Amino acid sequence: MSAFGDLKPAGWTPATWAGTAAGLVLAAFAADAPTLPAALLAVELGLAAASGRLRSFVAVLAGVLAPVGLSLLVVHGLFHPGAAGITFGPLTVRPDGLLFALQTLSRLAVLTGAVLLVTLGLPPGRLLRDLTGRGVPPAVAYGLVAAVRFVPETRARARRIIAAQQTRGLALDGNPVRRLRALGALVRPLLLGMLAEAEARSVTLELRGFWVRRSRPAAEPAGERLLRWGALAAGALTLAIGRLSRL
Amino acid sequence: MAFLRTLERRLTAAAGLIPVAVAVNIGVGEVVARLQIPLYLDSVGTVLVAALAGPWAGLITGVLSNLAWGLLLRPTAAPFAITAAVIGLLSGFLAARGVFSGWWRALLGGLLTGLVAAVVSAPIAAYVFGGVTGGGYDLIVALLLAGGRSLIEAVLTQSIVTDLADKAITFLLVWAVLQNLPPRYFERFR
Repeated sequence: MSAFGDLKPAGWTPATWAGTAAGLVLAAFAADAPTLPAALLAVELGLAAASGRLRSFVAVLAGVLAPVGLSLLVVHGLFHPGAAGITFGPLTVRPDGLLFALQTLSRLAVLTGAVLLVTLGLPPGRLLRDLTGRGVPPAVAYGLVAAVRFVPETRARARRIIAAQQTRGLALDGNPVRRLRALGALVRPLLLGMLAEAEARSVTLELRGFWVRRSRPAAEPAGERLLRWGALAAGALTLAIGRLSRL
Repeated sequence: MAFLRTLERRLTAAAGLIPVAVAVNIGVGEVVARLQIPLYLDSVGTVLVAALAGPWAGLITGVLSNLAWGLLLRPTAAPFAITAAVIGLLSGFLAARGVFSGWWRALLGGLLTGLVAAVVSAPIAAYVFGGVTGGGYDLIVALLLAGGRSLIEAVLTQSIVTDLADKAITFLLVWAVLQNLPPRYFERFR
């Protein structure tokens, strides 16, 4: 280990991943051509591989981008405003629109990849410790981490309410007006259940003294701080240069 | 300082509520998907928190919703955290001015919030996403582009059409829930 600490990506804190990811996203919006985002995506793939998450990174990235990419290519390839087209039978394909779709998709790939780098395989408990240790108010840090834990539970509860209301004879199919009427019967119990649960959780958290601010955690390696702020500054600088050069 | 003390007190009161509301914003997607209705309803928890605990708690709920959504299911949701923040803030201010005292006021508040949400989200959708989301609403954008509209006009029109209805129904749902709450529930947030 050097004086700057161990800088292997597998050991980075969530804040270092977030700073690096933010720098990559800022840089992706510096130029219109898809070459810069493609290079940044290659960096993200390298970081995912170095932290042992390449397979899940590629799988989730492809799953997220496939429908958006298809829509982009169809909508802009056929209807991009102001672009000249080449006619193939009933369709007019617009090369400028296809280029715009590729530009947008490449930036979205960097944006999505950056979020995945921060979040894939990150245990909620580690995120909570890191956020509160950096001075984020416990209410906000707990809000994010607890929400991530509650989502699967809430979705399961929504499915149980749907099944229960169907058993009681609520029609969920048919014309749109009928389905819209069913909405209240499904969402109201979900919201009222949420309020009851929230009250119980608030009391439990207060009794445990959760809102008392914790002391700061042990200092992280200087190299990580440098890396985080360096990536962020490099991203902001690339964006500024890219935008100013177009003026 | 008095403002900060009030804010901290309200946030503490809302702290147990915010994560559950965030989960509801995401979980309500199950209901929307089952009913196959062309709505999002992804801010129903945010508006409820804003109505109970004020605009700043609403803002935090909105931002955390999109961050949690980005962390869990849809990484592309994160840029729309700005829109979610505005929805939480505006619905809290409207609630403080009595927008949930009657169903028609709630309807008007929802329409106003929908209009503002559309104006805020359209530039993000156009610039970051090229105006498409990979969902059914892309068809509206395609039709408007084919009709000669610019990208920002097409996205803004689509956003207004969808957000007005979405937020109007969201506000009506929250109004209906607030009618069923006992008065002691509101006391915690005053």
